[in-house]
Amino acid sequence: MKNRKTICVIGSGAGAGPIISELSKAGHKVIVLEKGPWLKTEDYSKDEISMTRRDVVTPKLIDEPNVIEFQKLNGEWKGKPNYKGGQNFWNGNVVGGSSNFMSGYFHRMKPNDFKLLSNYGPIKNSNVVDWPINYEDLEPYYDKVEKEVGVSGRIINHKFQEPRSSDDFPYPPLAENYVSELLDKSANKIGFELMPIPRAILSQTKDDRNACYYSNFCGSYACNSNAKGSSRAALINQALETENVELLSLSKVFHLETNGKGKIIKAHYHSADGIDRFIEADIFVVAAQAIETSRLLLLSKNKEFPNGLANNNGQVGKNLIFSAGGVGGGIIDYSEFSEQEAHKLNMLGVFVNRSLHQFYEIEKNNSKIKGGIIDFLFEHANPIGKCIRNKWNDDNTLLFGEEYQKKLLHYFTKQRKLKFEIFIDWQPNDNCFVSLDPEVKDKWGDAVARLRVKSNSHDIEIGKILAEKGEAILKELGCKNIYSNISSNPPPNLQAGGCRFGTDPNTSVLDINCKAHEVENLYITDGSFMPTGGSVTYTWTIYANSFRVAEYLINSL
Amino acid sequence: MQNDQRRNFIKTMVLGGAALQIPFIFSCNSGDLGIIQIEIEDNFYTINTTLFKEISDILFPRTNFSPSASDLKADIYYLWVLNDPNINVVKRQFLVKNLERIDAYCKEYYKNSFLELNKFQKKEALKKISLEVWGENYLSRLMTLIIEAMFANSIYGSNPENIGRNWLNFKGGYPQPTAKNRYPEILKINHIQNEE
Repeated sequence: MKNRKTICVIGSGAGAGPIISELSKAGHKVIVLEKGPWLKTEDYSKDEISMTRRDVVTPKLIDEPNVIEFQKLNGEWKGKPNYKGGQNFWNGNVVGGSSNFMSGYFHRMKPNDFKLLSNYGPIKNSNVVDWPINYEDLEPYYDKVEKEVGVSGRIINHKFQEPRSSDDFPYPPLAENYVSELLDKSANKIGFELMPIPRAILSQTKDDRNACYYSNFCGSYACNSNAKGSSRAALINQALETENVELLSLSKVFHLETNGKGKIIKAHYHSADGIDRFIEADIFVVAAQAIETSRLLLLSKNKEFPNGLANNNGQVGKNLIFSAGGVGGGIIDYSEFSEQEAHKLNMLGVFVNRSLHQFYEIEKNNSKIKGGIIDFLFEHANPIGKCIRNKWNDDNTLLFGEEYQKKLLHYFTKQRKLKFEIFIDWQPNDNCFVSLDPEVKDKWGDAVARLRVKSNSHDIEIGKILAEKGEAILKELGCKNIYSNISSNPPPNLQAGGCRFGTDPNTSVLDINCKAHEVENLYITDGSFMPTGGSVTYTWTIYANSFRVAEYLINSL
Repeated sequence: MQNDQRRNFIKTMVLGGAALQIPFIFSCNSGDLGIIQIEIEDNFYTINTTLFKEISDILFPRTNFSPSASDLKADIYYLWVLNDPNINVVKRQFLVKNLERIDAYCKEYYKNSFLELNKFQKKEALKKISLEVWGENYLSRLMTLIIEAMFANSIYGSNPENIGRNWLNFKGGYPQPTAKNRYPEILKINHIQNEE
């Protein structure tokens, strides 16, 4: 190939997969540095002990902690390493990253999400801004994800349906539980309309990937039929067949070295054998997930970039965001249904796949404000988690003995929990960012990420409005013990921001093509580029944007 | 295998540094392991497995509808966790030290060791202990271990013949783990490109 370039990609999750796939297919040499091991489909099982009860796909916190800041009553912020307690922000340190373990609830951002500031105005203590591109700019790549990664579902037009270049999804919807029908009826009775949720799960065979086999253990587990559209199964496996990809697992990049003229020349990494090595390349693409991407840039300081790579404007790590909102649920008591209905409700593996978009925009005080969506789903099938959550009395004392066992028997055989998850915009703000901790180091001696993750009170207010809608549907369906919990805690698995893209080099890290303003050959293609996140989970947008950047790179190299 | 022989076998095994080799523990079966010694980060601890079994069987007794912690081989699972170098040392020490603290509590308030109390007193003692901050933390952690033992694939040495899953009509997902990809073997897996 003429003008063949070498692309070094750091990370192998959703932000990296399209780059690896598209650039290698275009004939360029792609070297992938992944900090975790390379596990293939046959290495995974539905083993709750290894996949959820032990640190198998994430590092031990004692080896690689984060320092989490908390605010004291006097307003002062203090940090504590999370091996002493606190949230764990690692997600899937293996080839394919956390996309291996996603549930694949796929939502596009809506046109309004690209212009939040223009459409809804400023919000107190929020750094909300418009995106530098429009929905129309990203739509072709959302469409490409449907076809390349594989998205199943069906389109029902509604007020907030995103404009589409394809009539419908390339794969028909997955099989649904009887509860989906009940949810539709219940919602309609109170004036709501639920929509099918698109899933990054194949309902039919695609190339060498098999269709979903309804294992009942999807989220938190890798897929054993490759139906789930992980970066590994959907993109990297194919890319490897081009023989243009060199995949180095157990290779933790800790420094990007520049030449003193705003260009990266080497990616230095800790390798599995304990020796530090480096890779030279023409282009460097970082997609290590938002927190670690910002950390790597901050670690890569030198004379040219004394505050960290691409950080002479002090923006790296700022405006970290999460896809958050809250959760709720209720109990479907089989005794309230006919035997036949109870049997259908108890069918395992098939999906709920219903979502409420109706309150994506909310009328309040005669003006429109941004709302969000609600996804409905069954409680995760993991039995250990269910039992642990049930070991408490109503007065929060420990329940044990025969009473506990009776409670479990009822919980597992006479009912099923239906849940909902609320997603709203996490307002980017000055108290949500990544920095380097000045004291705590990881097992290699590198400074760890220090996180301040405060949310905006506006988010809680919107979450409560949506929770009322979710609870109303469950009530109409006949659920018992209905509850909701609107939380300001960030979901560690749904992170973005930290390296905003924008047109102003003073207020953003990346340009419109996700190239660093200050660095000639640095691109960032995980969720870090997102200035706001929409009221949805991010993965589809991350995939789409990575395909967009890949196309730009192919055209410009 | 006689109890004394079994005890020595276990003792030799853990002192030999063969931590996490489940088949060794598994091959001894549950039964009564009695008092054994275990090494955690260069410190040796004596564990009265009879005490553990008595406590765990009150937390999770055999009923006419469910197996007991002993039926689930929760004691084997407990020892496996204690021997796991991947689990935080402080957490493992917590699991060991507080077992003795329960006994010490009974000696203080009942003037007898836990094993010497009658059935009613044992339940009462655990109820009282569960209302103490340390006691709630510890018994809650033991409950979690029993729960893990109940649902673990029997390849881990507990939940024989799936009795822990069957009484709750729980069907695990497939594929289930094998000797190659169970924990901790899965931690050793790392493919390299163009491997044979």
